[in-house]
Amino acid sequence: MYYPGAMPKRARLGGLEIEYLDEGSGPVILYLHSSEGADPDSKLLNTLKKTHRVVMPAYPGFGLSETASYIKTVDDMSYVCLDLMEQLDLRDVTVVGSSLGGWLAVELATKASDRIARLVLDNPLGLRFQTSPTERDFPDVFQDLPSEWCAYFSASEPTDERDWTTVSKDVALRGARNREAFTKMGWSPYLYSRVLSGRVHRATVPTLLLWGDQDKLASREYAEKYAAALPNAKLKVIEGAGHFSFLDKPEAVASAVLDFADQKQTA
Amino acid sequence: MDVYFFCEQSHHPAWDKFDGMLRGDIPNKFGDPDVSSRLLNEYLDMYTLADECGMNVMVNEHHIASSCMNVSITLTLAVLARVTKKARLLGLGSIITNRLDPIRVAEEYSVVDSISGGRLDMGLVKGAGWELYASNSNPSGGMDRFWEAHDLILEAMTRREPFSWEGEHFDYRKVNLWPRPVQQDHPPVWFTGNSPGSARLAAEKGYVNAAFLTGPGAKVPFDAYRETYEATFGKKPADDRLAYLGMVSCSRDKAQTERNIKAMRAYLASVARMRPAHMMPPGYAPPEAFVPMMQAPPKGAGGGPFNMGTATDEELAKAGIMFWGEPERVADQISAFNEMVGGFGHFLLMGQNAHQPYEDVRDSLVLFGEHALPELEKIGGSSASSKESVTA
Repeated sequence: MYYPGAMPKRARLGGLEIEYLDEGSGPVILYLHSSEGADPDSKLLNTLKKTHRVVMPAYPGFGLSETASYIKTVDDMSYVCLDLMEQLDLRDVTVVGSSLGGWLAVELATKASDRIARLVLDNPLGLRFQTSPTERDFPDVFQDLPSEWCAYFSASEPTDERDWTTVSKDVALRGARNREAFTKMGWSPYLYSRVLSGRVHRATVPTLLLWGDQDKLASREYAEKYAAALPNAKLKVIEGAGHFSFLDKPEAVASAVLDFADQKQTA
Repeated sequence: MDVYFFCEQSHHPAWDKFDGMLRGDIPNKFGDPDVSSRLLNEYLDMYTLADECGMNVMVNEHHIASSCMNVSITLTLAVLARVTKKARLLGLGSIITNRLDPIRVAEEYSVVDSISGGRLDMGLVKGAGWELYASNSNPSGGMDRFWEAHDLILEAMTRREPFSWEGEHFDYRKVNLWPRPVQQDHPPVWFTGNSPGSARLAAEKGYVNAAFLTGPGAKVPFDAYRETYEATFGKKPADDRLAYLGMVSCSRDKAQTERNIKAMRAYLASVARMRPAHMMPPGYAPPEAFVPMMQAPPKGAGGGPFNMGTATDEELAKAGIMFWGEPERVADQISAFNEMVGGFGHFLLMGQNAHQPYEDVRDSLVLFGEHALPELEKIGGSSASSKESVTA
């Protein structure tokens, strides 16, 4: 697992001060982070930055980004991301989102932004496929302490070895804010949106859905149904990766992203 | 000092049938409906007896819990409003952070005050972290919901014309409370607060603040309360602004004392049977409050000034966790503890614990009423009810 680090830039979006990263040059990748927040030093980002301009915001309430009472859902956060794309005038964007960020990427794509060229969804959340109200798609991580969530998220790190006593207060605060913001977004309905299934047909851009075959949060069946629910998606399995594929197999995720981005597919 | 009898109304026979968590987890197959029925009626008998013995009464509320079968403050209070004669009726409290409908809370409290002829003490609480798993209310933003529900309940009780409410969390086309509470403008408000921060919130409003089973640590929130109250109102608070909850059993002989102590210790042992994650889910407190915990994780369980599991019975009595023995001795213990923490006007007597049977509770209440209560009523000059003090 990783520590949520400081982000180099600030933008004012819809009245909220948002911290973000904007590094590298080339075609644009908008990277949308997981529930554990933004890591400006991640292996995946460092690989992508070699050939691409990578933009990564910390969503409202995550990192040290401001939030407001009206930010209650992933849908609400997607408008802040749209604001960022417009403020930075990002075009022909490959949106890459991991876990919670994958959910956010789909929300973004349903909002008819012609700035988005394609999506890479790395073990996305956000849709519900169970039909019985007494069945749920994911085990309940909130029954365990946040320090135990690793068991659901990571195949390579079954226990969370992070020592928060060795990091600055700012980094620990980012960690605490990430946990609260994730809870705010994911507590109920648990890791899905009640309305997204009625909008997902609008996410028409070419989409690559990655699923780690060691994912202990979402099953392969979930990933397959997710890909089928999207109008233009294909599924690629990342071997040996857990729910946080970007963490377990950053090279495999990076090459899948770069291959897909370079294909310049059209719908 | 006045005294409120409290019983958590547990389904204790289930505790030995299940190895896991007694709160939040225990499947209801371990509960026996016939046993629930018998126990709930016995608990009501205890409350009725407490009233006859000259005490007030207090009820609490929990969900998904074998440790507390009362699922609504106002359900039990509605019964007690009818069957008790003199007791003040303290609900501590209604978990307004998690109640979807604060007006329903205002209405039901108002009916209790009405049936009882104005004997209600109205506890409004945030609720323990594990309650969020039952209500499924989002842990994030809980305090905002708490304050909006609090404001709305008091507006509903005090306004005399219909009004609408368009808040951040609650939305009402028309609020118009029928019946109005007997106590005007509204029944006294009680908060719970074991921390200085929580005690200050109660002090700013002039409400009663109750500390639960903190032991000598009660002095910390009590001092914080007094300081904030004086800064807010320009005078020292009366002792009746503060309350303390401790376990009590009075007994006639050594054998009964030993049985009672065993039951109180069984309760203490049961407290730990809860998932660590349920204590404080992310968002339950502001992120800033989690940072010191992340950066200096507590060493081991308990964390108090002493380990309740290994402390002697005498130490637990001195520390204000459990008061036991002959009633005169219990009165002395409570009196000494009261001095140790700087004084409180209400003692919340947790008088049935774990498997303690009705007969032992009955003896304890009768002995307490005859021999301890008169002594405690002398503390602080009068047994003024909270009703006579400020309601801000």
